[in-house]
Amino acid sequence: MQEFNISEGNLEQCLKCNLCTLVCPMMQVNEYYPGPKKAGPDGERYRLKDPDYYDYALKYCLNCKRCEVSCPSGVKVGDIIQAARLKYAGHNLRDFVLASTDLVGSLSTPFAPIVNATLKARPVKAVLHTVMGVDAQRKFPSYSQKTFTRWFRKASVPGGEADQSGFERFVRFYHGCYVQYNYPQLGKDLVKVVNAAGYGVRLLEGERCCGVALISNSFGRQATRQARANIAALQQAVAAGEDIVTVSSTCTFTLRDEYPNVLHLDNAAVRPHLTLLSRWLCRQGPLPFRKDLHLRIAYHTACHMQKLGWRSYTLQLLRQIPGVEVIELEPRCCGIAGTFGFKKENYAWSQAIGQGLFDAIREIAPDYVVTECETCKWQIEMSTGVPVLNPVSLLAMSIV
Amino acid sequence: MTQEFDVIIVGGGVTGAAAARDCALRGLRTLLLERGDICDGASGRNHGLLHSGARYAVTDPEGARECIRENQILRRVASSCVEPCDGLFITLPEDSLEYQDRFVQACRAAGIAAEPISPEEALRLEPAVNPALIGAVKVPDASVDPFRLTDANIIDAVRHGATILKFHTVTEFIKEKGRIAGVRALPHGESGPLEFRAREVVLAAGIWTAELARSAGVRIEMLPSKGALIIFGHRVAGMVINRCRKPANADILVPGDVVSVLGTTSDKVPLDTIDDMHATPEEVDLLLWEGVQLVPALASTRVIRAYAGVRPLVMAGGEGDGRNVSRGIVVLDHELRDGVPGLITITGGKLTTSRLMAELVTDKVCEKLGVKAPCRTALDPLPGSEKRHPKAEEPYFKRAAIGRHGSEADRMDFKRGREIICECEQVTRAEIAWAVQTLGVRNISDLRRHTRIGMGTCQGSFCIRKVARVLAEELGKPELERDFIADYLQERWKGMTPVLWGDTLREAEYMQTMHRDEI
Amino acid sequence: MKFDALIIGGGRSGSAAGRALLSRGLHVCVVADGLHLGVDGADPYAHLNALAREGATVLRGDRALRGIWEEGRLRAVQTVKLEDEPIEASVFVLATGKFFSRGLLSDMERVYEPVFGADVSFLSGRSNWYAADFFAPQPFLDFGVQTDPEGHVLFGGVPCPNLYAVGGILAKGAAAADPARISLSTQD
Repeated sequence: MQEFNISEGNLEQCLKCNLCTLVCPMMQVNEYYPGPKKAGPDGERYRLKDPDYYDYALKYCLNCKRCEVSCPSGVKVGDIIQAARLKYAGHNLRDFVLASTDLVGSLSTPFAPIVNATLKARPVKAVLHTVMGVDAQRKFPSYSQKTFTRWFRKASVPGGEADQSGFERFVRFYHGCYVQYNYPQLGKDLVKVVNAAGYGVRLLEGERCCGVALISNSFGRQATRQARANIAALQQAVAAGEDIVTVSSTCTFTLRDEYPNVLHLDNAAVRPHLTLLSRWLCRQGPLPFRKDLHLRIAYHTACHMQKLGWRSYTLQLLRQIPGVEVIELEPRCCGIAGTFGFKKENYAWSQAIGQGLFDAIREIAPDYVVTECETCKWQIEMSTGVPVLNPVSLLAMSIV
Repeated sequence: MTQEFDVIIVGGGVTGAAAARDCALRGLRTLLLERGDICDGASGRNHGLLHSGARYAVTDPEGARECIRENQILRRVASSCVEPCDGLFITLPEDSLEYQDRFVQACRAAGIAAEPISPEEALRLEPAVNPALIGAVKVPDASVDPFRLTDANIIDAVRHGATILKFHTVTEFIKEKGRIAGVRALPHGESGPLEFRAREVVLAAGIWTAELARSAGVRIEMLPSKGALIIFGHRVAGMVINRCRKPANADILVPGDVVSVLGTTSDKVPLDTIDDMHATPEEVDLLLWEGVQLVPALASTRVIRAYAGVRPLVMAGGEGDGRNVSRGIVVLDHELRDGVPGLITITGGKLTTSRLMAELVTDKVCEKLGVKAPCRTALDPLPGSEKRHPKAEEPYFKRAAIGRHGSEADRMDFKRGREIICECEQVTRAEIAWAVQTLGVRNISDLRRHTRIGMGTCQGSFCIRKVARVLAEELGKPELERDFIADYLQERWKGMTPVLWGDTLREAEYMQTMHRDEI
Repeated sequence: MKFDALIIGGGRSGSAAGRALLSRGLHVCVVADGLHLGVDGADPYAHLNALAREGATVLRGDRALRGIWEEGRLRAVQTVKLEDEPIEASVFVLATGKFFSRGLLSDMERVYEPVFGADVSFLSGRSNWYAADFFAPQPFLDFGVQTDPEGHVLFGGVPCPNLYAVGGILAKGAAAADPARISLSTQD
């Protein structure tokens, strides 16, 4: 009669072994955070009785999901916490600005030189610090002058949409906000690699921001709206028999796992067809690598990459590049956690969490750190001075 | 040295505690003697259901009327112990809607606000109920915490001058000139009994009343009826769920604080087994089988524990002044009934009617003593039940304490004791210190009854050593720490073994790995 | 992905087997679903990081779902996160532990091994699974997977030639595989 115990987020499987508390990066540096077990399954039993038991210290959860990776019982500790934050937490203007990555992105792009200059200028930083609560020491990601899609659709550019029509097989590219507004070059790199693998690239119809920042800042309604639009866009591609590839571990994880587990949206039809480019490439034939590279790179497993469980695909691929020495960093959190580290009240914690990783990188002193996560990139570059590449960019550099 | 009182109450269950409070409020010099801890017997081994009376409306209209009156009183005076969650009586395809009509009429006749609702409305109110239902009736059932209700009575009795002696076993009745003039009681761990005298002695000892009465020289025939219950790890439903049919096995699911309780069975058991009650795997299987009909999700919900209590059913028909009832309240005036003055028995009844039982027996005591003070327990709120809700700005660890103890939590020293000791149930050192000082806690089992410590999903696996250390410190007896651990593990094990499969078997391996070699 | 040896379970026994196989120069993958009890509190991933440094591919937080068989031999194992891309190997070591680590699951009537459905010895009747005294020997702690004298896992009493068991998942008295003697030959 009783076979499996099933409850939301597997709350009941929690045996209170506390292994998750050993791996929670926030608990190690912030005494106000009760930790994943108390914030997740313990707290949830009380919240089921009465929402008044919601604890505002849940805002400190980084949503890194390291608790879930460590859990011997399959409890979705991080999902339970995220779902509780969506349900109960309030928010302010600063959180909305930071969370709306595509809104800020689309406002900033036409004026990118101005925005970039203002974001770097000290007085403006001070205003951000006091009015908005963004930390003054933080380098704000700079915005590109031209969005990725504008580049791609422009008829004359090599590698652009017009050039893709020569292929017989296609993949769709979910580019995400970072490629679109901050670093279109990564998108161009992806096009180069995919083309080298013998496929053409197409864009999705009506792609939206994945909503990860909206979720972690408790804007559930807005996140759900974006998610529905994205699922519809992905469904179109799947109906056309095309896989969807991505470059960002966080977008990928959000589209695949946060939609069903935290927003409770059904994405089962599209989920298996959505994958990081490195995993997709492992199913294709070998790439035409050049032989003249001499690089030492350190691979950093972003938290959401760890949660996806796909680091071995990337490592396998990077190790095929001639002349590239790949050093695996022990998986650690860099501390930025998306928008978390941008808030001034979190800056010190954010840096304390990343310290072990920064030290390890400085000791190895690689030519590049390679990681799938754009916010890890900002954090590591700011904190160590070592340039950070997405694996797709490294692959683009490595092929003829 | 002999101590003198107006009244001695034997038995520290919910009835005895309520009687002690009522007597103290009416100005009597009151002593309560309990051989173990408060709530050791049936008072701590039931559903925690505050009946609306609906369950008895068809079969026992008088009992139903008693229940709804007391239900409304306790919601008012014991608000920190009562969760006004309401209940549903659901009719399944194999039950009859004619019975439901009869049920609604009987409820209304008894003054119970029973409101038939559509199956769709029932599912909207409580999504966990069996979606196959064909009818539902909403009634004012509620959830009551029997430990907290008893504690609140004890605390208020003490504040009004009563003496409460736990761990005192009554060994003998003092008889003088044909009347009961007091008792001798042995404090645990002492060699000789103490003498306590009073003008009236009240037996409020539940199923143990029969034996006590015999040694006082009167005969009370009791029928021990065992009821087994199981606890699920979290709240599966927010309302009390009943089956709308003639009362049967396992047809009530009650949300109790952060868990759900399903029960009960009902089996006659011999009197000599009442000191060793535990649920069996067979009873658990039966309970689950029936419970799944009420709430299908129970089939996949973790069971953390099973336990059993004994209902003190009394055969009162035809003897003395006893009314011909079995589950109703029974007050026995042994002077009238058996020619033994100075002795009164209060028995029968339910958790829901415990306040009324106390009022009736206190009326009888007052009548004997010639005291005219009126009963105030239907009006005066119990300690902790003055209006108190957790506020968002209050620290998280304090809110759980407020949820359990109401305004009593304001007496806890959170400056000193903010450290959370039991993580499942969010019990702090401050709450432990309060329980030691206010309720005379002596070991972890006592502490559990008064704070929920170790009652959560881990059943103490994770926190037990910390609990033992902190309790030993608060008692000033660090040498007891190891005994606390061993005794408590044994106690938890007893309730886990009947449900040892799935995640509870996993928990058991964890518990064994962490603790078996330590002792 | 393809390896010489796939170890299912990243606890103490699984890590030890992994080290032993790595030291033989084999290409090793470890599927480590969650932490096990007895990890180093200061660095709970120390043992898995050490394996990775020595060259093993460690799949942290992934979980074996089922085996893919070919003519009585295990060919590959499907995991939750690699989905439709099973991990192929020549030999497999089952090191998923007992109940806590979900190497063995139980319902109200039986105890079973969930990945492969291997033979599990347990007592029938739930009331025989435990002793009433917490500190007495507990029968359920002796339940586990059955093996032949070389540590091959049994299915209906027949040993699987390339699936071995080590550690807590073994029934009391069942032989553990010796990683130093595990043969990669398909003629086994």
